[in-house]
Amino acid sequence: MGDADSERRAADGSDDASTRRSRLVARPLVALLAGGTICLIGLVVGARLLASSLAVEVVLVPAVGLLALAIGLGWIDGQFGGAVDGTTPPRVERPAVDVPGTDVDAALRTEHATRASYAERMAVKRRLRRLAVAGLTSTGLTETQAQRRLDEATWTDDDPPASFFAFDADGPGWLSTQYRRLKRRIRGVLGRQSRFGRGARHTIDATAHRLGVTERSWGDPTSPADLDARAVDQPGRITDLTERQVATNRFRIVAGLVLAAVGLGVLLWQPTLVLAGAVGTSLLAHRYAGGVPEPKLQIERTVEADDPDHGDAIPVTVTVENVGDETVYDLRLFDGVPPALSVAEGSPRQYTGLQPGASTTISYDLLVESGRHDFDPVGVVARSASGAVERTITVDADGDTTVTCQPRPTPDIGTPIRSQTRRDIGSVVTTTGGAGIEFHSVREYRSGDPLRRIDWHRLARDGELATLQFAVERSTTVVLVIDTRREAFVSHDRDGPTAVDRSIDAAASTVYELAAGNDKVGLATIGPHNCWIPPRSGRDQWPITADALASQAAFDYPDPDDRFLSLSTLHWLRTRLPANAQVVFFSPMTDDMALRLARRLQACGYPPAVVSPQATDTATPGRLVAHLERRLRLSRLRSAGLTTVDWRSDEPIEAAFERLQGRESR
Amino acid sequence: MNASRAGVGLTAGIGAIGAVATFLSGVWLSLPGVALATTGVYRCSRRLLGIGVLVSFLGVVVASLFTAPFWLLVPAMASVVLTWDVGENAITTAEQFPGEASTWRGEAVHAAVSALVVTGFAVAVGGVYALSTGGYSLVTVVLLVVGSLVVLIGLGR
Repeated sequence: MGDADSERRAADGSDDASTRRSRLVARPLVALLAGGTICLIGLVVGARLLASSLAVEVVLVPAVGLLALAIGLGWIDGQFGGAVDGTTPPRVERPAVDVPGTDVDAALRTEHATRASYAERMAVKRRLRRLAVAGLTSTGLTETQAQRRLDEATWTDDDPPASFFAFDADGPGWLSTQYRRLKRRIRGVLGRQSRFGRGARHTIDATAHRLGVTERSWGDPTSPADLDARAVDQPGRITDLTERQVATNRFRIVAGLVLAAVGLGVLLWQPTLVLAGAVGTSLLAHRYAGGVPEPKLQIERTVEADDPDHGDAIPVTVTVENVGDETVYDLRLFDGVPPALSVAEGSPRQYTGLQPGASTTISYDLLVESGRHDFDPVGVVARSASGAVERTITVDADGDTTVTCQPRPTPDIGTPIRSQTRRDIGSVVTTTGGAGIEFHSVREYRSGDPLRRIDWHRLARDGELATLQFAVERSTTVVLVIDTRREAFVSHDRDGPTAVDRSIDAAASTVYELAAGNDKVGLATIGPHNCWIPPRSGRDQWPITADALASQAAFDYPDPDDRFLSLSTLHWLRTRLPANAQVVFFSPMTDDMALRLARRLQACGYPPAVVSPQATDTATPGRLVAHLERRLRLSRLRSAGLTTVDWRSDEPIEAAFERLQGRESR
Repeated sequence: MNASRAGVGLTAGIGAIGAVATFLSGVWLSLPGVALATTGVYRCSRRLLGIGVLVSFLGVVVASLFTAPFWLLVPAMASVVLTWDVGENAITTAEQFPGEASTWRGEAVHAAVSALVVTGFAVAVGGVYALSTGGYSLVTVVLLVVGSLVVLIGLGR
């Protein structure tokens, strides 16, 4: 059934494409034939029929001239200042990293420039309302009281934020829509800010103040200038490109100029201007000279790196050959850089033309991160010789399609484990005194105590026998769980490592540290793809883990069609976790699902220690919103009895682990 | 984001040909038009490029009123439409190829093909003009204009 459907869709798609192609070819032919016939009649017949008609001279000729001029000016106006249609390639040079809060910035930016949609404004309002309620409840109010204060606009003394959540009397009716539109235009003319945008910024500022975030980069709600300009500059992937064929409409102004020249020539009695204007028609006819481009390309990619280290820049070479029979005059190529990697030098793009059999080479250096990274297909935008018709396709490259980089552990980072242990000797220093290395206490000698633990200094000083006690070291079972959902591939710095990258590096070092002792350590992911390395002790565990981190798809940036099913994933994990395992959950906590996952693990009997790589900052209003939301989530986890640590982006993992252990010992 | 040197240079060069042609007819209006168009390409502003092209076109219209010879008006008009074509392509290229991408080859091929087509057509128009004997009625003009409209609308702008 599925196959039949897909075949039918493919057939429909090819029908659509062929229909569009035939229209692109047929319409100009009909136009040329019809127009040519009319011109021919003018040249051959018109000269003899109405040569001396006054009506023609006084009325018809100026009227036709005016008509041509009016249509021409309309077409010029249609293109003036407007962008042409066509494909905007994704910014493949930068990692496909989402910065939390840019959606809020984008909505406020749109609101400032024109007017954000109702859905966008309501989404921002809902998020700010949740934050404001949290801010009020932190001062001792109940949630109902907080909601009422927001509705009654009494939650703060300052005016713009106070009335932000009050009931909006403007309904969606036609009259109110027109009224709002008029207000917006007047506002634009006067250079005033929108009420919503101003209210949102002041509300974010007031909420941050109430939640105690007073030291922040952004703090001027009166100026809309701090909105994140990069919100519209979202990176993307070649797989986001839509394969299509479009007319770019880049010659509207040329057609307008031709008609304006002809119209003015007729009105001003300047035949040379009419003929000069006709020159412009050549570009319009040229639109169809190359037809619809159908590039046939063979692409081979070479990655020159055998075993790259994290941070290495490796050379990538892509050779593109035109294996078709036709010249491709206008070829725009975009290599599918792996979404989690960035380009260090050179460019993965090239603009060229290729004769049949000719080839071109794209060379650039790729900055490697730990893990396995798959290249996307090569994006190809081919235009007709005039650039008027554009076809966008993606082509799979032969040769190297993957880069793998084994993680390198950082030694001596400490561990994130608690003093919940098994009977075997390991690395966890317990509060029990006995045999070990670290000094614990001194007690009275008991018969049978080993001689090497007798406190000889005390015996020499006081003549009393005493026995030294050392902290007993026991082993434990730890499972490191990494959040690898799409929502975890975030960072406050677009060019910096994502929360997943940092989690992988921290997990690698932890496995290396623990497995070297007698502790059992395992690894799992929570994401669209599952990875499970059962807890084991011993030196063999590190190479197994390192290989998994470098090769398993679970650590890759998710594809657009990858789906994450939280309940089934948690069930899958729960059935594998050993009964006494300690779980350490690495997640940036930038969405509510991450919070729910931690709570569900707790409900299943595995209260996780949450290590949260920081992925938010306070540089813009939107980022500040995401920052506040994340702080609230971490706070809720602590309220639920879970140990959490906010792993700042500027500190090593050992510092975060130290703080984690400090909190656990309290 | 700035356009490539190749794009800016090609736009300025092609625009300059038209400006010189109208200047020889005693009209200097196309000179600021070319400057505006070149600046528009450099700053990747289609609006500024469009204004420059429009000013250059007004230069051609004024030159025709000054009874500029046909052999000057045709290259001037050809230069106007080519300035838009090459300049707009340079802006699109700058948008699609920021940074260190190599684009000169593609831009040069595009400009060469367009220039070839427009020049060929201009020569043909010049030939028709040279061979015409005059004596056509106004109905001929009307029908020629209407025919051109049909062709242009049919070509879909």
